[in-house]
Amino acid sequence: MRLLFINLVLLLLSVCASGQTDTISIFINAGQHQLVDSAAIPAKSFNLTSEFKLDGQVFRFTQGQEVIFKITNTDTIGHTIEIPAYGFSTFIDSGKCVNTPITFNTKGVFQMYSKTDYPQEKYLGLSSLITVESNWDHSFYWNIKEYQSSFNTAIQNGDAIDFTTYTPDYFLINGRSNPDIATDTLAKIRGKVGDTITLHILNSGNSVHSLHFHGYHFEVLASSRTPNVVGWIKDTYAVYGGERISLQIVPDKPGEYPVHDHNLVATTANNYYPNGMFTTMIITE
Amino acid sequence: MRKLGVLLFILAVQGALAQSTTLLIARNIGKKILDDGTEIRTFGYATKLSENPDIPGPTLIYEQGDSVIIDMWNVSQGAPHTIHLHGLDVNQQNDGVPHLSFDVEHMDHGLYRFKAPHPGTYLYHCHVVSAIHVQAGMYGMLIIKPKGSDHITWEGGYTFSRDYNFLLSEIDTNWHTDEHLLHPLGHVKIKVPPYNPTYFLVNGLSGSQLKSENKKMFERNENTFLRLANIGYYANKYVFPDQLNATVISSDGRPLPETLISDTLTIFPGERYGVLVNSSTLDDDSIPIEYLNLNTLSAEGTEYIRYQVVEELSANTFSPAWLQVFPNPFTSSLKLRNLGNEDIRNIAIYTLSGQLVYTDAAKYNSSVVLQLGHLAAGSYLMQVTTESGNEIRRKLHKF
Repeated sequence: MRLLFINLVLLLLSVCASGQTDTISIFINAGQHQLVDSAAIPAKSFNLTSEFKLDGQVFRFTQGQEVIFKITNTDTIGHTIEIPAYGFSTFIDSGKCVNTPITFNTKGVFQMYSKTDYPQEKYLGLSSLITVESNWDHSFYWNIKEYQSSFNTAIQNGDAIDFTTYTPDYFLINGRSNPDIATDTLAKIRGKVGDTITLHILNSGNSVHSLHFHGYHFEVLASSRTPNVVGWIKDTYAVYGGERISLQIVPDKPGEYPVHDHNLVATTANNYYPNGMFTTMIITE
Repeated sequence: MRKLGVLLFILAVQGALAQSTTLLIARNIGKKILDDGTEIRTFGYATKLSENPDIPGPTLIYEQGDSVIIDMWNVSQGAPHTIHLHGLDVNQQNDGVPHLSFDVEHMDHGLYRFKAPHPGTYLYHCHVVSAIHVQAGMYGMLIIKPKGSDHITWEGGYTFSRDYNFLLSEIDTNWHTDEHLLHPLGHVKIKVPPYNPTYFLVNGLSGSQLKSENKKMFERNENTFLRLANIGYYANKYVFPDQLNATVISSDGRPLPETLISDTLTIFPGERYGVLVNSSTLDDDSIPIEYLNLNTLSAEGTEYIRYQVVEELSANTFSPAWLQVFPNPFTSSLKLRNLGNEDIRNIAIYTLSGQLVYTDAAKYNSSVVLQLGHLAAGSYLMQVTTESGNEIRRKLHKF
């Protein structure tokens, strides 16, 4: 079912590459997100249907694509939705629907988020990864974030939260933690020796995540925060909150190799190892 | 019992092993005294059964192109252990991740093989329940130098007169209790406590321990190469004094496409950087390092690397005629002949990375023969201090 959903998303968006102006329906949903240990927390998400799903939130477009975002707000509060890099900003009241055109001319990784009660609504999950590419082959997408579960409950209850005391207890890639990340085909890196693999990452959380790659070094293709690191060859990259990066890997040998946050506290979930920000990439001959 | 015999045999003959073969013994019975005298239990790697596995583990140094074998024995009476060769891009079999390669049970051993690739700074650490085993102390630095040269960063790179290695980490004493260290075995979820470190380490030392270390000696108008690595769970923010003209030249074992001149460098968990410092003025100062919580970016600890910029350590400047040192290079003993008017009141010998390996505080007004057969072959720096406080330095080489 999950694969079918992803394929439908990709099919829907890839149809737009013909130059037609297509309408993309996006729903602002609130719901309960089930974590890796089956605990549930209040969260919000952008989805392609009115069904709440925190997973993924990856929207892919082709460079030059013109679309109309038809944004329906099923939440109980109004949201101002922005894509700062595109100057996109629109307000959708609770229960309302707004159509806004946008043309994706600039390649790269971008963030679409709710500016309402900033950063609380973004923190809850209204922060998606948008990529604009000319070639999607061998591309993978990580929307990484973390939650302090007590914050989610406090926000829902209208209680104050204080990010200066932030101590997250769940660490997610596309809404999932180890081992569930492996079931997300957008996140699970699979390729062959010699492939040029691109990984697009948005850190939609607040913490810095120091991602370490086993097996291979990568080249930094882009960073929204520190452009001077483009061209660096590394095996570990610290992604700041709000930062968008693209990395390129050309595997020289087969194998299954971990990729994980090297802040090893972030490889846990609710203080249990190894259910955090940890997955593997699989490279075949 | 047969395996114990094999280990004892290897320990007995390890001096005869090939140069690129390293024996590491994983232990669960380490003890570490922290800055305020607190003693904690640690895990770690040692090179001898009689050694306390210190934090960090021994620095492993190889040359580019070496075919390396690390023979790791687990003598822990506890959890399995591995060695992950962090940043070396080894194949899956040698990657040290238990469920993807192999782990080593108590009283067994495993061989990790790799060909030393790019010169640079790397790490090694256990990848079994890594959140706990790394905090417990199972980590160290691994350095690959260019072939045949101790004073160049990489072939075609930068020359330097001295180099120092700094591996930073933190200690949360709550993690060093048997409740957490002696975790369940097998494919089960392991509970870890909240992470609230209160000791911030530079090469395993903090606070007064670090202050009591000898200052790092930088030569005026000469490059000093700093290898900086972070194996902790916080970020390390270095603020280099302006006069050091800090230049970032490499990261994660690769040269940067363009060097980066910066007085501030933040190094995150798992990262490594190479930094050149070069001062044109004599100086006596320190490099502060803030330890940043990755969730709030607040500094929760600060430590200092003390340094002194001194005159160039050339043979002419530091080998006055009144002090004769011979033979140099030497094999087991070294003779110092004092022809001057002052007594020698202290003799200290350091490795080129600043580790004190010999000291003699007796007074000498004529000659003395130092017995140095226990030192490993390589280059050293001898510092001779006279009665009036004059310091004379001389580079030594032992065959």
